Amino acid sequence: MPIDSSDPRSAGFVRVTLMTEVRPELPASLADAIIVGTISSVQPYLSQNHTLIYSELSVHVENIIDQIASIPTKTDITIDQIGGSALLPGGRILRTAISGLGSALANGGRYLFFMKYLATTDAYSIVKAWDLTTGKAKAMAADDLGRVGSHVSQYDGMDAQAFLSLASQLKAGNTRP
Amino acid sequence: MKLAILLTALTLTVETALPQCTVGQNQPGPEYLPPPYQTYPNAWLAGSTVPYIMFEAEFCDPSNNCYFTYWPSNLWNDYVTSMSAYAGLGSVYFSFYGTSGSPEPEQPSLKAILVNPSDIDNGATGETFSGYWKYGSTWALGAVTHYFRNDITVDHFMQFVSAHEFGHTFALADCYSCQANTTVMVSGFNVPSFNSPTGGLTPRLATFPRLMLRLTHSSAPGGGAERAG
Repeated sequence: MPIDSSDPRSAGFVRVTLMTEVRPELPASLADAIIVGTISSVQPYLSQNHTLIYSELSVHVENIIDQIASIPTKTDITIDQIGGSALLPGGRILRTAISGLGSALANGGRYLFFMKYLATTDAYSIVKAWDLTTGKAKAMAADDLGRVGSHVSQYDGMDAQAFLSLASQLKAGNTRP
Repeated sequence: MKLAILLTALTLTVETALPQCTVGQNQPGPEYLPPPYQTYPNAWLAGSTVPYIMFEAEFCDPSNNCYFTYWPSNLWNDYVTSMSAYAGLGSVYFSFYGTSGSPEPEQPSLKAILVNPSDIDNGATGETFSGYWKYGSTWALGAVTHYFRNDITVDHFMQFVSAHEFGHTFALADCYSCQANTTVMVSGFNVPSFNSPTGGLTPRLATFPRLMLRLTHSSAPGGGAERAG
């Protein structure tokens, strides 16, 4: 059923729940790029098959900690993320709500991103993010929130500068030491 | 008065006999539809029969990349085993529809697909897409699709992931603080590792969702899956 179906019995929204794997708190080996940046805008769009809303997050890059060689270096990058809301010209709102990923990213927020690069679209997908907006490292991913709840997180609550100092030693990808 | 005493006694008996069931600690909370429909449980319409499709045909992702997908017999059985643990709750039953096509636009409906790991968002092992539908004056689940990674090979793990995804269609929320061996709705840090030989699903847990659901929704405002819709 298309999310934008005109059938009045269709709610116009979809909830997506995900069961994600447990990953390291700093999953450098799973990432193509480790980047510090700020989300500068969020643009929702309808998937090609009209079933879901995705969001295109524009990120201003503050620092590339590391990335695999094949990725072009840019000051502004794009992250594609499932979920979002779109206001149609007639006033109808379509939504795709996500649960199971942890905390939501916020426009204007500053983050440490571990990401996969998608060459076909010249965009990234998130492996894991840490929120740095408040000056402290704040866990966001579902597994890390679980670590926080179990009091076993190594990094949650750490001063952001100290956290980034540690992160600056990380290497992206699993082919390098 | 006698009735009140009896009910109190029963409650105490349940709590004493099942001290492990505490919402938010080792029991999942109830899940409702997103706003503005948040008074409705995230569940099938009570009394409905849900046709389900074990999809085996050409599958196309949102970018229209297509490939053939099918169900190995063991994983098919695992999925149906997990489904059977929920059948009858809220008088909801499942009926096999086929291996391709779709009963839409009739609602509700359920489609289960094994997809390439790259076609599941954020590297998840299981994913549920829940559409919502208005039945008369009531909102409930409409078209639901389950995705599972096609590199799952271990039966216990497949049963665990499918039982978890079915839980989301019976108004059970993820439980981040639940221990791995207490409920199939564990999420985050306590999820069993991919293709775990035990899958976090002990024999006792095969029937546990039923119990969890009743206890969860016995006190939930606005009802629950047993009064879905």
